[in-house]
Amino acid sequence: MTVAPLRQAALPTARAIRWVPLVGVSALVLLVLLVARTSQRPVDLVLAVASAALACAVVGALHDPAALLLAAAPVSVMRRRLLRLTLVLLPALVVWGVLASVSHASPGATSPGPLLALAAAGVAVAVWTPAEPGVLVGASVPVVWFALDMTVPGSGLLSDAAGWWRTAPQAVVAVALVALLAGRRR
Amino acid sequence: MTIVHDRAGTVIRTTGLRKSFRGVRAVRDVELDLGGGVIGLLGPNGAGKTTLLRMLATVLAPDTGELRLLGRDPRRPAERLEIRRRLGYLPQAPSLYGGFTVLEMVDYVAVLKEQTDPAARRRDATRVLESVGLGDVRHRKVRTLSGGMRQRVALAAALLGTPELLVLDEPATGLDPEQRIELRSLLSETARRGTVVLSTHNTSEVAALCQRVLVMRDGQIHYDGTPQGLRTTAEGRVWEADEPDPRAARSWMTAEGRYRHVGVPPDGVEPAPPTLEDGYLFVSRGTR
Repeated sequence: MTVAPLRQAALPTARAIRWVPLVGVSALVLLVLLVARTSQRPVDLVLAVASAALACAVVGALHDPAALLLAAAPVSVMRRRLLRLTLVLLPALVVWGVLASVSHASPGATSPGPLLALAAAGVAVAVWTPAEPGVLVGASVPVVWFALDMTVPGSGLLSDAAGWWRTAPQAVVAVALVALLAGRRR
Repeated sequence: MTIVHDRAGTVIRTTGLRKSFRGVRAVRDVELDLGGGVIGLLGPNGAGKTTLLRMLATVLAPDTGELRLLGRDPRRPAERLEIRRRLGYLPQAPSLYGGFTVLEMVDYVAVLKEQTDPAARRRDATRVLESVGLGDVRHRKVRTLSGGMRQRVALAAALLGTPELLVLDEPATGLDPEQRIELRSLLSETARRGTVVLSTHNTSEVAALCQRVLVMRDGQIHYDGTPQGLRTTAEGRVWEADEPDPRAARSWMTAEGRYRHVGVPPDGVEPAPPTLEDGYLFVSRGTR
């Protein structure tokens, strides 16, 4: 299969994506970040929230209202999802770059790793969950994982796992990629 | 049971096809050998029609059983791709992109059907839109269209590329009587070049259009033959009277004010000539 259909589908796919969640989340997080910075409050937590919210918006962009109509198209659902992800992940990373530069936070807090880890985990769950609620379930993964990280107390495996998206984002992305490859025929 | 002879060789062959959802069997042991022409799939809600059509459209993989479409095995990715290049699929109640124009929507589907020459693609999109009677509204936004018009946009998308196998899940939904007749004309023309499999609740649609009819109930095919053959399954099981008859399995008042009864007729009554709907009632409700 050639890449020509995907290249030609890029612009209409970009038009078909619902950008409101990503734009809304970006604007809100930027506002909160600016307020936090000017009032000299810690911005690391704001950036952590931003990574979960942006990841949620990125996974949510997989939702395709015309998925049923396109279900039997030669360009498979995985390729169409890959196109959507590419189109939405690039602006999300640009937004992240803006947030990181505005925050003046420590280099550890401004790494895009946690954003990518949460997004990858969400996409993997969306791919493995049955078609109808898949994207919804996948999009909730970043938020749920972030909430667990904030609420699970003490130490231990559960507590460690709740923080893996921050502490071991490369490993999370790698596992999610393996899950994606294994589920690509679904 | 009457089987219509293949006109263009076997296009769809299934053996022991099964599909379950959370333990509920949606399709059970379906055996089909379908050739060209228009094939109607009748059955009550929940009979398994949509599940079967989704499998025939390569959208859903069967749990067990053999399925061959256009001589290929859809389980193999390379062969599935070959099938999809020759297939048109209209799902039940498809959603579209409201912000696109009609032409943009169909053009987008054409791109995903690997039509990469923009000029040829635009010509094909225009052709299918004109064939479904939407040529004049091709620059209108999809969100401004009526339900019937949206259905026709989706149908146009399924017709792109002149598919050899067209799988349509309730294509007449939302269409007015005139549009239904236009649809019949369009589908019978399409069936001259290939195979059209459509599901419907409308027996008059089947009578007017289909050379072969399948009736599904509880995930199984209970009838496979001609519409004429389906009608004759109710031969001698239909009678009319001036009063309701509690012995009938089904009764309703006709436009003439008489009661039409379906079931085992009591002694001495004169059977009425059955319609396709009577035959369908017998098979789909298990009224035999």
